[in-house]
Amino acid sequence: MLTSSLWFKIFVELFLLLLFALTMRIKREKPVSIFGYIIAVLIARDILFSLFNLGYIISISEFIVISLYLLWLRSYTGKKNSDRFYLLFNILFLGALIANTYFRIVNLPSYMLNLVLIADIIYLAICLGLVSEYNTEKSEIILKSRNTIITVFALFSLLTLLFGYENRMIQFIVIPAYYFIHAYILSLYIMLFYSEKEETISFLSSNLESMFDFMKNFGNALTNKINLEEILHIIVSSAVNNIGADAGTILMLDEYEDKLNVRATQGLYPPLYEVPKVIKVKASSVKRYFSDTPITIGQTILGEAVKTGKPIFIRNSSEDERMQYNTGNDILYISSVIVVPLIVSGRILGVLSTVKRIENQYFNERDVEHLKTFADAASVTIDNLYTYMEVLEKREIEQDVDTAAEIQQKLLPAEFPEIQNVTLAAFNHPAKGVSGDYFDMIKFDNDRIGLFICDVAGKGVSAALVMVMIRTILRLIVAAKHDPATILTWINRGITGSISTDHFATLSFLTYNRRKQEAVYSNAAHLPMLVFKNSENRFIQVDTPGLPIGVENTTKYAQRRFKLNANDLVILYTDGIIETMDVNGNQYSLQSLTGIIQEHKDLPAQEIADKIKSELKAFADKTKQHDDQTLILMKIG
Amino acid sequence: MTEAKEIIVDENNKLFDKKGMFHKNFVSDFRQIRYFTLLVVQKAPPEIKEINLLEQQISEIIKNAVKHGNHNDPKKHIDVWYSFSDTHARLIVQDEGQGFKYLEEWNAFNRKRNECFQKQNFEEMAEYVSFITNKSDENDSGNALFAALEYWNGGLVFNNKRNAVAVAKYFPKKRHGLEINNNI
Repeated sequence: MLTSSLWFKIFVELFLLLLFALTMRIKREKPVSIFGYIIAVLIARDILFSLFNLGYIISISEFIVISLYLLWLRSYTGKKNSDRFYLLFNILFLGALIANTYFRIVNLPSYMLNLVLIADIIYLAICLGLVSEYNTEKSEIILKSRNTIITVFALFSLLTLLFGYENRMIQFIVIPAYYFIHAYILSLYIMLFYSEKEETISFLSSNLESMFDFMKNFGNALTNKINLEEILHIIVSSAVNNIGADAGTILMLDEYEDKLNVRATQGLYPPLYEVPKVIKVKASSVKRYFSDTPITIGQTILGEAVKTGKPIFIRNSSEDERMQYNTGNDILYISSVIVVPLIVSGRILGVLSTVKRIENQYFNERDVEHLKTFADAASVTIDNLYTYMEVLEKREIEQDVDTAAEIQQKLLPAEFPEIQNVTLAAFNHPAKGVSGDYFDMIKFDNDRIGLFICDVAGKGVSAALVMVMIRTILRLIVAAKHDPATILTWINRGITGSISTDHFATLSFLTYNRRKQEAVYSNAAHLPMLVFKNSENRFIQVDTPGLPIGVENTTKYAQRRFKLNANDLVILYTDGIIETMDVNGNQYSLQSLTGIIQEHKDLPAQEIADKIKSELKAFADKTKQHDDQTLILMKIG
Repeated sequence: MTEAKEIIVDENNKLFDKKGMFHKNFVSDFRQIRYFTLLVVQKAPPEIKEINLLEQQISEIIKNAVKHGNHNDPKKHIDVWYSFSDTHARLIVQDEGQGFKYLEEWNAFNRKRNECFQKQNFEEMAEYVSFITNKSDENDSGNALFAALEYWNGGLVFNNKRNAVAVAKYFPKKRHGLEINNNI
C-alpha cells in the first residue's frame, strides 16, 4: 500500500530531476542548483518513509526543504541578520524534540511539529514579501513565484495538520501534487530564459533606434558651424532621455593638464564632492559650481573611471562609500549612478555619466549596457571632431601663410628693366611662413634706374599688407623724380601710425644715373649696401643714419652720393642671406658673401647671383630655411 | 604649494648655451624696442597661442637691458640670442652695463612678498608691492620682474657679471585624451 504510493512519488521526483537537468543546462546558476538538493531530500525522505513509516521523517525533511527555499531566496538577496534567529530557533526546537522522543520529558501534542513548520513558512513568506525590484537584483523570478510558493506551502501544512501524514489521500494525491511547486519554479526559470532572450533582441533594436535618433540630431548640428559644446550636449541629453535618467554630464580631459572639465550637463547633475552650504541653497548655484570645478584624475568616481578606464555602476548610492556626499536629504541627493569612460583606440578622452535622483529608483544592468553603447559612439564622434577641428585650425594658419606668400610673389617685379651699361640680377627665396622681403627695380628713363630693397618685420598677411602699402607709396612718388632720402621720408610718414598696430620695416633705396655714373643711396636701418670697387679690388659698405620705417613719424633720412665705374658691383641684400644657418648653427656671414662675390667678380651679374644662390643652398644643406633670402646685384658695364 | 621661485646667478647654466640660437645686435635706442621685439618674436611659430604675452615679456627684457643696463647710451649695444619651437621659447639678452646690482635684495624682497601672500597677511604685503631703488624713475613700477619670474617657467638666470640674463618658457603640448597605459 505505502510502497505503491512510493512509486507514485518517485515517478514525480524523476520528472523533477529531468526538469532540473534541463534547467541547469540553460541556466547554470547557484539558485537553480539548490533545487538539486531539494529533489535529493525529497527522494531520500520518501524512501526512508516507506521503510519506517514515521511522520517525523516527513516533517523534518519539510524543515530542510523550507530552509533550502530560504537559502534559494538568500542567494538573491544576500544573508540577513534575522536568519540567525530562524536557524537558532529551529535547531533548538528540533534538538528539544529529539531529546523528548528518547527521554519522554513531556507529552508533546503531535501537531506541535506542524505549528513550528507553519511558523517557519510565515518567516519565509515575510522574507519573500520584502523582496522588490529595487532592493534585489534579478528579483523577477521571486516576484513571479512567491505567491504560489506561500500558498502551496501553507496549504500543504494545513492539510497535513488536519489529516496527518499517514492519511492515504495525503500520501497519494497531496504529496505528489505538492511536489509540482518545485517543477513550477524550474519551469519559470526556463520561461524566463526564453523571454529574456527576446528582450535582449528588443533591447538591441531599441538601442539601435536611440543611436539613429542621436545620429539624426548630430547630423543637424553638423550642418551649422561645428560647435563641440553643442554636440556634447546632444550626446548627453540623448543618453539621459534614452535610459530614463534624471541628469547626465560629460567631462572632457583638459588639453594641457591632468584634469577633467565639465563640458555639458543635462538636468541637475550634483557634484560628487563636498559643496559649501551657501551653494546648496539654489539649484542654479549647484549647477554652476559643478560646471566650474575641474576634477582631478582619480578623484570621485568620475575621475576614477578615467584613471582605470573602466565603467563604474553604483546601483544604490547609499550602499557605497564613494557616494557619501550624495546620500543626504538635500539637493545633492543621488539614488543611482553610472559612469562610463569615453575611450577611442586606447586613449581616454573623458567620461560620460548619468544619475537617478529619486529615492528607490535605480538603474539596472541594461541601462549600463545602454550607456556603454552610447559612450562608444560618442567617443568616436568626439575624436573625429577633434581631428577635424585641428585640421581646420592648421588650415587657417596655412591659409594666412599662403595668402601672404601669394601677395609677396605678386609684388615682386616679373622682369628686370634694361638700361644701357647696366646689368641686373636678383633672387628672392621666400621661407615658408615668413614673407617679409620685398624688392623692386624701377626704370625712370633711359638713363636712370632705381633699386629698392625692404624687409618687413612680422609675418603673415599683416606683414604682406605693409609691403603693399610701401610699394604703392613708392610707385606713386618715384615718378616725381625726388631723391632717395625724400622718398624714404615720405614712405615712413605714410606707414607710421597709419595702421592701428605698429609695423616696422627696414629699407634701402638706390638710384643710379648711367650718364653721370653717379649713385645716390638712402637707408632706413637696412643692412648697409655693399659696393665692390673693381679698380681697388675691395668692398666698401655704404650706409646712412636713420631709424627703421614705422618707429617715428618725424624721422628725416639722409643720403650719400658716390661715383660708380666700369665693372663695379653693387649688392643690396637682406639679413636672411648672411644669417643663413648650417646644420651646426653657424651663420653664413658677411665674409662668406664678400668672399664668393670677389671670387666670381668677373662673371656677368646673373652668374654671380647664381653662384651665391647655389653656395647658400649648399651651406644650409638640409636645415630648415628660417628667413627670406633676397639679393639684388647690379654690375656696371 | 610649489617652491618659491627666485632669480639665479649661474653662468654655466644650460640656459646660457647659445648653440643653434639666432643672434641679433641692437643699438640702445629706446624708441626701437618694439621693432627689435618684433624682429625677435617673428621667429616664433604660429602654434604658440599667447603670442602677445610672449612679445610683451621679451620686450620687457630688452627694455631692461637698454634702459637699466646701457642707460640708453646710443654708443652701447645689446646682444640678443633667441630660439623658438611650438613647445619652447628661449632668450638671452646681454648689455654692456655694470650688471644687476640689486639682485640679492630683489630676491629677498620677493621672498618676503611671497611669505606675506602665503600667510594671507595682506596688511604687511602692502609694503612689498613694488621694488624701488634710488635708480628707479617714475616709469619703473618695479613689478615687471615679478611677472617675468612667473612667466619664464623654465628659469630666469643671470651670468656672474649680471649683465646678461637667460630665460626659458615651456609651453604645454596640446593633446586630446590620455593613453590608458600611461595612465594607470
